[in-house]
Amino acid sequence: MRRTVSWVVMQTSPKGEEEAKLGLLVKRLSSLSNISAQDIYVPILRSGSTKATFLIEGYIFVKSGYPSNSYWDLARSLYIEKMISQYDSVSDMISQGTISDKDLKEMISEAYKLGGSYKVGDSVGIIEGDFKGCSGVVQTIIQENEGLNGGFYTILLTLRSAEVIVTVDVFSIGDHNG
Amino acid sequence: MDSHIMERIFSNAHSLSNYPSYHKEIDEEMTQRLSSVVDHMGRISPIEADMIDLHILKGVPQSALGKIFGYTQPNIHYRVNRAIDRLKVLLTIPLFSEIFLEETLSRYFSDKKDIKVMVLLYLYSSQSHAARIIGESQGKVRYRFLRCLNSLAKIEELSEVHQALNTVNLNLTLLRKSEKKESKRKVLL
Repeated sequence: MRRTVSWVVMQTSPKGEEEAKLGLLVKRLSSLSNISAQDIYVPILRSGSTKATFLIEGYIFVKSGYPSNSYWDLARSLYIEKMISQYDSVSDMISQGTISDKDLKEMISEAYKLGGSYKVGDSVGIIEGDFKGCSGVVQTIIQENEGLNGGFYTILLTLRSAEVIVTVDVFSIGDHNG
Repeated sequence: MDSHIMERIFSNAHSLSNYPSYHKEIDEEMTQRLSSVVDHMGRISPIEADMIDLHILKGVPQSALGKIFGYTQPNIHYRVNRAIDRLKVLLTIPLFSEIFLEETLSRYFSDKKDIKVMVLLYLYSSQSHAARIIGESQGKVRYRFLRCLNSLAKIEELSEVHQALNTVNLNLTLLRKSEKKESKRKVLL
């Protein structure tokens, strides 16, 4: 029988938040345990010490299926405040209070919707990043990792001497008039 | 070296702090000045106009411009400054249409080649380009132009035309347009 994917929920410590802002938390946690970096999800839209933006602040999600000591290794680290999900003696795994893959993706999708929704051909203005202040037209919509890593748009900027395609996240664009 | 450090080293007089940003609220006078600059963007090359528009008016970093136009950041810095200098001079030269200039000059000058030289230098700021078109040496074109400028200085009704052509004469190197036709670049960032 195929096991349903679920995610163990952990609350991050201030140090963990700091590392998340710098985009280093996944690497740090993965090196502390035998959990693959791909199975650790930090809901951060963009990292960078000053412009870091969290989708869900204060929590991280670790894919279930690893031995429980791997999760305890993380929970005891200085990056994690506490583990929200709990140990289940019947299954001998951290399986209580976990969140299903479907629910997590829905939750993330809802968070991304706060950034607005645009379709191909829409005229938009870039409101964040290097091209802030420029206007363009949506060319494609990109969903990475089934939406967990966010919605991105490729925007065509038509200049006098060039046509430039830039990729921006959903929170970096706004309606044409801002 | 980190591109941001390079940018800091090379940016000075034209750094963003000296210009109103795209989102900053600006007063009416500044709006008029900006609008006047935008109106004259067509007088410089499309690449230079884009550089001024993106970097000076919108605040796009020089490093990002480097990726678009294929130049290093210091090179972008130099080109932006040159474009600003060019635009500053062009803003002081009144706009005349080719027909207006030809008709006005023909009322006072009889030599058609003299008129053509003045019109071509007003339009292209290039003696070699004018020389090619009228089929004379560059030296001859220069001689004609300077002689015409002297004559223009004595005609009160043409003081505006004289001022325009004199500014062109003083800034020939800066104002010379590239004759190379550039196709529109397509860039994926």
